Amino acid sequence: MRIPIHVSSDSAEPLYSQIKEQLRALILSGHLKEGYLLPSNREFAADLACSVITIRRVYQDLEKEGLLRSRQGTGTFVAKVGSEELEQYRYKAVHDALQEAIELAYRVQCPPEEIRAIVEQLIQLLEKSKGEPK
Amino acid sequence: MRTGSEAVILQSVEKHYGDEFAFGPMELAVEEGMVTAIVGPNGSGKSTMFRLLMNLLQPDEGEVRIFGSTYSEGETAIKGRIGYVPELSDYDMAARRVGDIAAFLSLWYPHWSEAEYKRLLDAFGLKDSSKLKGMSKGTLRKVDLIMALAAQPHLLLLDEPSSGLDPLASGQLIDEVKRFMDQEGRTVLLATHIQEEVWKLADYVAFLYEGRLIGTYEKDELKDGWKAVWIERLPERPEELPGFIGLEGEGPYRIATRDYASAASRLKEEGIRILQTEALELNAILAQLIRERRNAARKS
Repeated sequence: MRIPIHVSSDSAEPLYSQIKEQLRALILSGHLKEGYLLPSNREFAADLACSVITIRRVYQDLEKEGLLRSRQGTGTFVAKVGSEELEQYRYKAVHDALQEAIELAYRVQCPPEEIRAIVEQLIQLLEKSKGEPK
Repeated sequence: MRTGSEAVILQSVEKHYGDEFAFGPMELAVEEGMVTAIVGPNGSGKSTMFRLLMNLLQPDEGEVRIFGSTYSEGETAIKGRIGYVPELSDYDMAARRVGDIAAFLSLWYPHWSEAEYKRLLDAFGLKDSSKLKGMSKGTLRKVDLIMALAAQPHLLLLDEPSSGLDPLASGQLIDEVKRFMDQEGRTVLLATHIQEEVWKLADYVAFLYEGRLIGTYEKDELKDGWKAVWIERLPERPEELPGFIGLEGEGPYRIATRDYASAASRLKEEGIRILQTEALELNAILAQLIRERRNAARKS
């Protein structure tokens, strides 16, 4: 019962945030559906080579956010996610990805006009490929 | 931040061997439901610790409590709940076959499971009729593990359990410990110097050196906090970076720190970009803790 989460202790992010963000993304993107049974604390910890303490924190915090629910003795499940949360998540995911890209552009001294031009160009390219049969 | 109940407590425990070696004084609380790895160089007292926990040695000072009781309150009841894999296999050679040992131990352990014993035999490729005489060190190790686990203990004491095992069997060992811990209220104390076992299994890591604990950490605290960063240029006084351990390279530079979060934000303040981060090896962490211990001893 593995789920596609990959963490690395070489990353700058703490293990807790890596796991929480990836699990949240899997739920909000609809890859893990309502009622999906997550691995036990120990199983998940061993698969990701982190401690059960971290897994417990991730499950508890996502439960507080309403993304997970736990039932005594049976385990932790994916909860029903409202459309408002999905909308918020979509906005935030796009916002954060663009922010990162724009920060990189600034670091390499790319002027704002050029950034806008690149974004416009990419949109046109994708729109065009959408119209073409594959 | 230990909130659960404790499976094992060492309270001011000391054991002396002439002037040669002193164990302790040691304070240790092992939380129930957790895997605690004991990591230390050879001769740091790991096996002494396990023998004290098994009442094979008695402390000169202090007290050992297991599930809240001392051995004087009833050794049989305590040992019935412990599975022990010693550093060296030690079977009474009156036993000729694996099945003889199982038959004997099944009388001793109140929770012994025949079904679990059979499953483990099968998993490790052994039989009831396998002869003990002439068994390799690795195969004897498998017998040790099978017996310790089939007793369905609440506390598992593993002293270098993978020594002599091939990579395949070492992987099985990790799976079996994981399976054991998936049951409610189980605790493991694992002495090892194999990084993979610590990273995969442990929740806490206790470092042992010259008979003393020189640091106990939540494992992920080690993984998140102890890192090396690669940077293009050096800050003004690199050795004053938070948690500074060491510096190498001539650009890009590699700085090791035991306080990654603070070091990273200091570098950011100074406008220095981190090119790459990487986790430190368990051995590098142990070496640093020993260095700090020696420096502290020199100063006092």
